[in-house]
Amino acid sequence: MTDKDKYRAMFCNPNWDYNTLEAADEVISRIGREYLKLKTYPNQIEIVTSEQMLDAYALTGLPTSYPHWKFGKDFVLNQNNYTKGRMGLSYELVINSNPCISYNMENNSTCMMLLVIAHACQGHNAFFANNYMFLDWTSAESIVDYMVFARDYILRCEEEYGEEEVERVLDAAHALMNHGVDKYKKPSKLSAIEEKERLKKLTLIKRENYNEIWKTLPAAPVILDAGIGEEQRFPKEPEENILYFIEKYAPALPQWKREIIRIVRKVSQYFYPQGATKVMNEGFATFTHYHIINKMFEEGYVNDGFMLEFLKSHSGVLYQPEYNSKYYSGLNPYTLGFNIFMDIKRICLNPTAEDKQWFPDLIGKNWLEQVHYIMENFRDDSFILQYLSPKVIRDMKLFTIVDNEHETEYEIGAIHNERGYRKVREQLSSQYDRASMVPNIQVTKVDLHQTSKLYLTHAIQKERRLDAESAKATLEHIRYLWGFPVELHSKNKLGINESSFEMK
Amino acid sequence: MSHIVDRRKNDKGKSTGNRQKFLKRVESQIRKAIPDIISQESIKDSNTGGSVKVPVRGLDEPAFRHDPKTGRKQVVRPGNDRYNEGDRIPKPKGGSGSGGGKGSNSPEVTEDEFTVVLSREEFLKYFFDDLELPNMVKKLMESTESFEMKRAGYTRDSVPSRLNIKTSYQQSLGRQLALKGAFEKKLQNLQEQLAKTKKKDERAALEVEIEKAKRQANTIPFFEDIDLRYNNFERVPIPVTSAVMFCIMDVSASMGHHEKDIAKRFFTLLYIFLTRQYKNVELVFIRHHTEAKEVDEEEFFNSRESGGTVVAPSLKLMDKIMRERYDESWNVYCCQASDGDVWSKQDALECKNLLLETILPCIQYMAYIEINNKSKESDLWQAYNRISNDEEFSIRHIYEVYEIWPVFQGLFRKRKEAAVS
Repeated sequence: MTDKDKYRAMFCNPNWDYNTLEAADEVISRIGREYLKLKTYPNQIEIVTSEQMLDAYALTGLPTSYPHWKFGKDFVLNQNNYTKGRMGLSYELVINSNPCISYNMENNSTCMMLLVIAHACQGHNAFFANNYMFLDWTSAESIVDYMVFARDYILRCEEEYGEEEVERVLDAAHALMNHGVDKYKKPSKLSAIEEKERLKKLTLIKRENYNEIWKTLPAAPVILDAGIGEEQRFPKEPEENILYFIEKYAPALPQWKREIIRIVRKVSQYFYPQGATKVMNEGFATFTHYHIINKMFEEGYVNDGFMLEFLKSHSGVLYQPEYNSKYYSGLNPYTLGFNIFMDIKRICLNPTAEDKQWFPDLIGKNWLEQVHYIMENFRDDSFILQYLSPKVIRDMKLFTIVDNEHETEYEIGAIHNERGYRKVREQLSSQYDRASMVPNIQVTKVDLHQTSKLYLTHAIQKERRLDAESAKATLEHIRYLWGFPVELHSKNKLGINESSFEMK
Repeated sequence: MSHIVDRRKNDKGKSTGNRQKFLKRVESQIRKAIPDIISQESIKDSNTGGSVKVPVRGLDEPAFRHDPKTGRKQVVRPGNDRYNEGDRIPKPKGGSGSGGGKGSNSPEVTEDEFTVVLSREEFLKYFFDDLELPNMVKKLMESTESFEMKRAGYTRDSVPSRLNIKTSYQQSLGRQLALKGAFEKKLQNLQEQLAKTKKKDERAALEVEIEKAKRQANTIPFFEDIDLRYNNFERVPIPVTSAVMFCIMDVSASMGHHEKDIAKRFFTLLYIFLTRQYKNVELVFIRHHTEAKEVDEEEFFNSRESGGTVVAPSLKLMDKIMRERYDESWNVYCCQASDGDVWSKQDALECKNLLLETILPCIQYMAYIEINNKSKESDLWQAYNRISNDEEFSIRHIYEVYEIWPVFQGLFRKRKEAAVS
């Protein structure tokens, strides 16, 4: 028996063992490397039970995290849904780390295992290792270390200052997680060791400069030196990273609370690219597993029976219910991403007249190179804006609905026809733009002279106002962290106040 | 190179800590839900264990978000099968026709409610947290009736059967070595003197001395009284971990299904409570109409008999069983349920006296619940009322299922609170 026969026998047996996985990983990484030219982080494939998968879900895949009730709540929620059969667990969960850790469910069949290894350990892994969002905004090398540091730090704080106080800070910081991301400045890479060093240095400086006599002086607000005297505005530029602003400038916040905010901010930053590349990431991983498994079939590693099971699972992943189906719950990112990537390949190989007009840059190019280029340099909104082709719009029969608050009827804005392609494309792209999901709120002013009041401004877009209840609760959290009154104004395009919230 | 790890054997309880934190956060809600659970009879089969579901309103995690009802939104949907650009579709809404106003969409109440599954242990913790069996602590502290002998080092004085040979021999060896050394030194001294002196009579005297010392050195006793060591035992009081619960119920014709149901629930509660406090809880069921009879649980709750009511025989029976089967190492609890009807005032008085003189002194706690709607005070109630005190004998009225838990709480409230109120 040759190796290939042996492998085929293993892969076509629905029960797998360690050797099967090892063989699968070997074959799949070879195909990924040689056929799809993927550059990946080394893989760490972990086989887990459903309970462990639920644990992993609660911590969004991170091997460890700081303690907080939110994770417990997510765990209870998922557990309830899972045990009631309302929710299935995914076959895998993968995180952006080096080595790339993926969790595979123990009850996957051999075929599912191969699919999952191709999908997560090649597809997602390559995406993490090459997409600019992940390279620029996260550091795969140190995230696991950093989370260990974060956990230890929070545990120490709990010991020193009490669980309740720590929880209070974490709750407040979590409420601002979406406003704790640097979208334009690339954050410096973090590493647990450096982080510890930084803290050590900080205490050292403090100790060296410590002087008993200073205790008798009233504490000067941290921000006073930022321009007292002249009628200067502070901050000079509006700051959209509210967590960062509080961490740096909150007048009366003890150092340990600033550190906790920093931790939450770093975690939020780490997850930022994931939210911005959902369609691409899943689309690319699906594209990858589809090609790898088909290649295995071509090379004779798997038989027809295996392929039947594979195609069933594959089409299950890509199932997109229509807008009026009772199963409809939004666009399936797997489907959308996969369709776009497949169409890019098609355009490179067999362009039609329409494609020549829409995508002159792709015509006659090597499809794999193009796919790599796109996978590396885009995120969801730009990806869709550039590469959602008329054919995909037609195939998926996409259309837009205009829902104006002030009207009693919906209006169909565009459908899959000549006039509609661009509109649908732009619309879908903006739907994946972060700005359409997270309200644009910035720190615009701090009253340095009297009250230390913090002013936030919400720029209303598309007449979408804030959810008042939630906004008030969030402001209360900000009030707690900032330590002084906080005011939020929602301003429309003309700069006119539409609504205000205040926490005294 | 990939690395394949089988994690299945690792711990699965990674989320336990966070789950506990979450439970702590919803603690007040869980507590609030407990009376409902009891009246919904979901703990009826309480002995079997398992988990209990407590509904919890999802904890909101606030953040700045858009109000979904506002703004000009455009959404992309798949699978267009009938629409053309510019088509208009009326918005589906409940109170349609209000047209265009901001508040036209009636706010949807999103019941973000889900259930937390508590393990039996957790549930009981919440269930009984602020309760405490009266006198139980006292009993635990004072129950010196039961002792256990425990080894506690050695003693020099005891009976031969407790002789510890090894330790005694160690003592003996030490003594022998010490004495031998002393004699040998003496011998050496004498021999040196003997070597120095020339006088005959002195030498003879010295030789006698040497002879004597040699003899003494050879005749060190193997054991002396001071060597002997005996195993020492101490009497250690052991906490009483067994309890017996007497359930006494009136099954005369006047007790209907509803009354029995309430009694059963009350007994069940008490039983769960006791199983949490004691390792070993036994149940004795006594039912009575005109005569008292010990029965098993099945019969106790299910079979129905008619007739008048005489209560005293059941108390007598209880007293008898208690003295026959349960010695002082048992914590005795008694719970009596009745509708309060008795044959005669005489019977009520007899009960009172029985309790006061023979029963109450021997038991930890007795609870009497009267299941009627308080229209009048029954004879039994009146009789009991005179001797009841919250320390060891409490009486309460119940008529509806929902009253059980508050009454139970009232009966077994921690003493501190009772003192305040």
